[in-house]
Amino acid sequence: MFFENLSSFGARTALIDDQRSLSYRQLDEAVLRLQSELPGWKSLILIQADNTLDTVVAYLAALSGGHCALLVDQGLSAEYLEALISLYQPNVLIREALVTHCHDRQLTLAENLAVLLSTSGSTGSPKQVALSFGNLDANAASICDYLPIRATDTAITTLPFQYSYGLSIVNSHLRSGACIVLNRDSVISRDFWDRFRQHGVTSLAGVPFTWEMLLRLRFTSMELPSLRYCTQAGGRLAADKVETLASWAQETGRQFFVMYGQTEATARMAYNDHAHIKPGAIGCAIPEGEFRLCRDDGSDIGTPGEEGELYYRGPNVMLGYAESVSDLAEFPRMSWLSTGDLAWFDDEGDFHVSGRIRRFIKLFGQRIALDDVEQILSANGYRAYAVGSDEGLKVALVADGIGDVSEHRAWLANTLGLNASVVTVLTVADLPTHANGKPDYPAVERLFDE
Amino acid sequence: MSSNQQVLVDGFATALAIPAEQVTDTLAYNSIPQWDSIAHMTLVAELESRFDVMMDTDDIIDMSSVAKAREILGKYGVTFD
Repeated sequence: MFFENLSSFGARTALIDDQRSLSYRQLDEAVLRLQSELPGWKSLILIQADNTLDTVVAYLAALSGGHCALLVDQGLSAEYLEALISLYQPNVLIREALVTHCHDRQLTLAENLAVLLSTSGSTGSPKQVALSFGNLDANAASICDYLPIRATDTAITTLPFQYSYGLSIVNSHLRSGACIVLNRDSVISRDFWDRFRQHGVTSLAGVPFTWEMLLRLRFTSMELPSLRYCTQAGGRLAADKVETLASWAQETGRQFFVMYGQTEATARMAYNDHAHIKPGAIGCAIPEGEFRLCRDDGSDIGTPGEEGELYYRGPNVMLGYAESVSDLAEFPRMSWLSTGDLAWFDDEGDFHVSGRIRRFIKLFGQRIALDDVEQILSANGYRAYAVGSDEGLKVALVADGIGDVSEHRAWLANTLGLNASVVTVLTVADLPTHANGKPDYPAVERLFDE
Repeated sequence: MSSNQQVLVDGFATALAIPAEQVTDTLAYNSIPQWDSIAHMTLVAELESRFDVMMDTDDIIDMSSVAKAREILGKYGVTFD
């Protein structure tokens, strides 16, 4: 396991924040100290995570003690946190250095269960992806296989800790004995770049939105001599932007990796290391992984260019989903993971994602299920349909003359924890429905074009 | 109020989705939920297009308040008197 050999990296620096820095030996000691405060039997530990030293120590203490860590955004509202606690009944809560023991009842937890991660980001859905110790290890190993991570590297956190892509960066660097700068600021802040230069950061990771911000910051003209390679995942970055970044990398002797994955596959399923030639592709499956394309009738697609649903199989495919503590006892064996994405492959075997089957959008790398948005609206007395793309969320609602559009929009953005700039709200007299009463989403989309 | 000042206030109000009265000199980045890193990029785009300028990396990063925005825009020849 990637977290078992921390002390073997000795005096190398593992973690740096603004106040402290820990060598691998010191990190190992801190983990053991905290582990001794946790139950002696497999327990469920809820960690209110952020990119801080204390969070990393808590996470590693939970894993090395064989517990299951439920990682929750530290900024999650008290209401959603309470709901999660009552559904999952964690034995211990950890927030930064504060450890709170809740109860000593032994929960029935699958032996190999290691981490629970939310897929829905800010909609507060209690649904979790259950990952095993084997999943985490397989992901860290495959990342170290195809990304040029060295023990002398320094990464900087640019993504939430509890987000699978962010977590995967932490895991793979700890496995390599590399250094991680714990940063909580956006790439548009002065503090971020001060840290970047001070610590000589060698790699940079971002979701599409991060790279859009970086391009606007004229990233490709910045003097960043320590930077060796960059990665992009968490949704689709427009091909022209990928091309700009990949060509810049090519010209400056760096590498730009376009990656594809989802939390259900412990963050990663494919990578494209030749994005300067094929900016629109997700590339090939990661080492140990395998793709399959299926037609609607379930038959396999074996010819280039034909679109079908993308399935993935590999040691990093999750144990399953959970909605409450009772789902954590055992998990049915999963074989092929249905990604929910439509894809095709070209003559050289590179895969291209062309669309999505299920109703969700990705904003800032986080998945937002449109049905969850409708549920939240409905629970608050709105009749509303949600549509949208990775560019933004669009909601048509019947307000019955109460409030104005900007109020509804501000409320929804705030409730979902989104910036209002990606939320469009339209008030309508009636919601478009099909004859059978089901939502007519294409008609809803058209409302926003008018 | 000079017209460029009006344009600046409008630009902030639009980009941050806040009422114009809230756009005062002391309004600062991260001091209200509406002005986060995401809105900051919208704001930069808004001001760049309204004043027809293209800001440098350092100026985008340093544009941490309304007063600072005016100072930075001044460097690009936008006058506020």
